[in-house]
Amino acid sequence: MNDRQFWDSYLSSMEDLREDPPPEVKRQVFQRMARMRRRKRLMQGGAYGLLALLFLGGSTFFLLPAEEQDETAYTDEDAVHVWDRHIPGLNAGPGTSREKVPPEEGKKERADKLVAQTVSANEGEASEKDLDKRGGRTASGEARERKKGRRSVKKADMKKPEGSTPDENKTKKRGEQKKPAGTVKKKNPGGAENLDESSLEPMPDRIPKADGYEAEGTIGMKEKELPVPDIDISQRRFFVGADMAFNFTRLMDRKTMESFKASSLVATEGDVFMDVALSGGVNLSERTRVLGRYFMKKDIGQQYYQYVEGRFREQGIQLTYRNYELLLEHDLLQGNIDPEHQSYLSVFGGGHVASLRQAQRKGEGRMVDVSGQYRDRTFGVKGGFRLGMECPSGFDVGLLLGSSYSLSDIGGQENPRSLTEGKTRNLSLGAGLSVRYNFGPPLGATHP
Amino acid sequence: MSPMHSVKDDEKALLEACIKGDPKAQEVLYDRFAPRMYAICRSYSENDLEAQDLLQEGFIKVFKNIGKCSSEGSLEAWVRKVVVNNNIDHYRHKNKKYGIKATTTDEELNNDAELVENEALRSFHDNDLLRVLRILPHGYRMVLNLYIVEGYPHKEIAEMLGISVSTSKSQFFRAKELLKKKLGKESIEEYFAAI
Repeated sequence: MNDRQFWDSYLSSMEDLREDPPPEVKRQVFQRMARMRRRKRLMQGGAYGLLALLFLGGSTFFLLPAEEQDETAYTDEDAVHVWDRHIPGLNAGPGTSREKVPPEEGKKERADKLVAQTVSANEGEASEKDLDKRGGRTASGEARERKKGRRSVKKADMKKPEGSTPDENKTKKRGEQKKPAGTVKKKNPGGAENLDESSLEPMPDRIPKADGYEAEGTIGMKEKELPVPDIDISQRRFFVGADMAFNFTRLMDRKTMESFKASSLVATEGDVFMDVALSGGVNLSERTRVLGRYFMKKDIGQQYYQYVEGRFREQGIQLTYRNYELLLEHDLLQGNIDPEHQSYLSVFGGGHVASLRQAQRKGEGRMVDVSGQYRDRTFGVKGGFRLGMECPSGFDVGLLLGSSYSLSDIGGQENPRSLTEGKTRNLSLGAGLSVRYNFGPPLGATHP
Repeated sequence: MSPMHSVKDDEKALLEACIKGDPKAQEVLYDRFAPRMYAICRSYSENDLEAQDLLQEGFIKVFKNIGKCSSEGSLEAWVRKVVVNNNIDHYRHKNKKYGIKATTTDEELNNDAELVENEALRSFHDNDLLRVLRILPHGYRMVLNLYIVEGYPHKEIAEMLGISVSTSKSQFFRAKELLKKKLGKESIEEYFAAI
């Protein structure tokens, strides 16, 4: 026997050394693989959870809360100016702190009352804070005014009466005050004391402004004269837009539920599809809107891995629908990520109706039309979040995060050759972008 | 090495499912190739426990790197390559103290009490071949397996084991002589004649 024959025989003998390894080896291999899968799933779940947290938490963090309306900033024309209550001593007596003077009293009577209140005022000092509040504008309100580009009233703008002291001002009656020329404009010449404009002293800081008198650049401005912010674009009545999203879909049939068990011989895997939708809607109010969306082509599907007749087979099912959605959207938070444009985080929810266009089964390198095995119409629910931001020229862009679930059975179980098994419903999770254009008449002059 | 042939359809589906991490597909792949790979690991190891460890590590690497397997070639050949490379790595990194010996002492050659030189073997079992392989010095066994069983040239063996080409050749020559001596030429002829 030469060497070649020896080694050929040796190789044959080596091939015959085959033997089943002990079962512990297999158990250990798959225990380690299961641990690795669990770790991977935890990390994936953590990453998705972190993304969702960042999406919601970040929008909450960056969206500044809408500034609260300062109710004391504006008062009713007929009401006593609210700053009265902030000045110690002024609160004594009738007609203080937001008491409304009946309009039927007439301006003369109102002026009389105010004078009486002023006279009975305490000698106490008014703080600068009171001054601000008396001006009908809180610090936030001043900030808003500055933002709108209006000149804010500063203490330095106020002209003090010549030769007068704060104490003197308090004890003087309104009629006795002298006014420097041009600082006080008398609206009603038939005022309480037959006030002569020239004899009036300029209004000091602590004297409340009576009705009927206007002063330029003072804190005694009425609601009508206060700046009205521009109407926001988002407050247009109508909008149209387009949405694009990537959706991870799952067909929840009996086979899928079985595949989650370790002992199952079937494995399933979801599919990802891209959808494009046209949308349009109506703003019911500043924060609430109703919209409809139309998907000309919306896909759902899943992959199945089965060990059948000694062979491992991979097959997939893909269903294409026309989808119609009707949603209600409400802004949870409004604010300004970008100082120039308003942003908002909104939640939406509603229903959808789908019309089947095509159903295909994929496997072993070929596609088979199986539309006859699935129902023509299905319906379900949809919900999610939208983080939107206003853009110039009436546009609005946003990030979408949503989920949908079909409440009705999508079919397939009647046909024994169907890949799905039993009643089947669709679950989708998706994320994407949304663009809208606002147009039409404004909702109304509202303030943020 | 067996000639390359295209992966069958079910092997393709099996491969794709394993790439996606399907545990059922991984079980199917393990059941299909584990016996052969176990034989390979036994021929490289000094005992069955070590062989089982090598098999376990080998399949973990198979599943982790299954994405690199091309569907054009043989799935079994790829799995075998991963297992053999794992065996080589094992001996390179964890058994440095054994080294690759250029010479073998008489003591090592006579270490096996079960096999008596020049005694005709009445029955020659495959396990004897394995037993003889395992009493060969570590380095001889590696070179023998890589050259005869896996079909690597001496140049590649030298690169894999970190030795020179001449060392690889001399190791193989000595392994061949020892194998013949241990098995007994006459008994081999009798055995192969009976097949």
